[in-house]
Amino acid sequence: MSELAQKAAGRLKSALGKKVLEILEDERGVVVRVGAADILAALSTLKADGETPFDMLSSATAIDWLHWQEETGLPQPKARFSLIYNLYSISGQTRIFVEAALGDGQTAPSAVELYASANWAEREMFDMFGIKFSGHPDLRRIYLADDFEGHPLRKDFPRHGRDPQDFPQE
Amino acid sequence: MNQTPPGNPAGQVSIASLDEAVALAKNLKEPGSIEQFVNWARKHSLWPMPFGTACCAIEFMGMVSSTVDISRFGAEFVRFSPRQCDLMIVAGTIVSKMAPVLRKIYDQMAEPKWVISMGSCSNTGGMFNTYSVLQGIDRIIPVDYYVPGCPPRPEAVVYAMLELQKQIAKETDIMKSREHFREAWVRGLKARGQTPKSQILHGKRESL
Ligand code: SF4
Repeated sequence: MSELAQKAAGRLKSALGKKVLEILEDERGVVVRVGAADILAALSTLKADGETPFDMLSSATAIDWLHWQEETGLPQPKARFSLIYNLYSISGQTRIFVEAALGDGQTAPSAVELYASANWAEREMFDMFGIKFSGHPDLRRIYLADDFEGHPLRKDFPRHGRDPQDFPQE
Repeated sequence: MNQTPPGNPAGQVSIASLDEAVALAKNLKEPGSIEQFVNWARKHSLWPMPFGTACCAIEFMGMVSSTVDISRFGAEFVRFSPRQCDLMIVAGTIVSKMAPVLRKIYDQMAEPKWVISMGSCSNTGGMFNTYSVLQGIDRIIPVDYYVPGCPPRPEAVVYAMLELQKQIAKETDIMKSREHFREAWVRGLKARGQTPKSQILHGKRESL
């Protein structure tokens, strides 16, 4: 299965050239690393791919790498966040991941124009990580109450929340 | 199958609660007996409002179905309209986004009303000691009975209901005693250094 994804990644590399920073294969499958500014270019090229069009965005999520080295001893990624787009090709029955590094406070381009399912996924990323997406039609919280303060999946969010009456601070 | 209960004339079935009512009805002229009669009627017609938000609500279903069957105690109808209920059974995790809804539904119930908190989650937040979960529903509504367990067995909740019936049977001025109960709840919160989160009553949710 991953040969199809590898071939698609190769075609992406020849279409975008240097914008594709790295192509690797790990336990997830084939992962393509691009810069945050080139997310849409990568997604639209993969979606319009001739042989295996990646026509479905299964999920899009983010990782906060704060304190990563202290907690795991593994090398610290330079940027604070990673955005991860999990694409699936229905006709080719194969998956590919697009990963982009994003600094704290940086705005990412919204993929809603390309994939409708990005709408809620990006709202979730906004809700949990505070990542802003430019061009998103309706960027507001999705799970938490509208007046919730902070973004709980950021690693600097207090584990128990903010109300000292409910959660005596350690 | 044709056994008659001991001490009863043949063919006459004794229902304890009905016997109680007949005894009460016989001395209705005595002072205070009207209240007692009303209390009898009230305790045998508690209509539960199930506020089920998580797994405890599944256990609550066991309470309503045939094995345990709370309709034996007069809690015949489980109503999903707060206007028709007087016993709220909060069964499940209350997240802070749900808390204003819980308070609103509590406020919509007619007086007199009681609350049973079913399970660790609604008692204290349970294992969800985290930013999104209300740490005990008694921060926003007064609770009459806390049933521990994760989830509690249906029998445990029935026990709480029977205790509630005993309490109701002793009431003399029910409205006043409910009022006192709520005042005591606010005093208790203050003594623990907590502010009641009843601000959400008025649509303000800042402190949640
Ligand atoms: S107390 Fe346990 S069973 Fe009940 S809602 Fe919470 S987690 Fe579920």
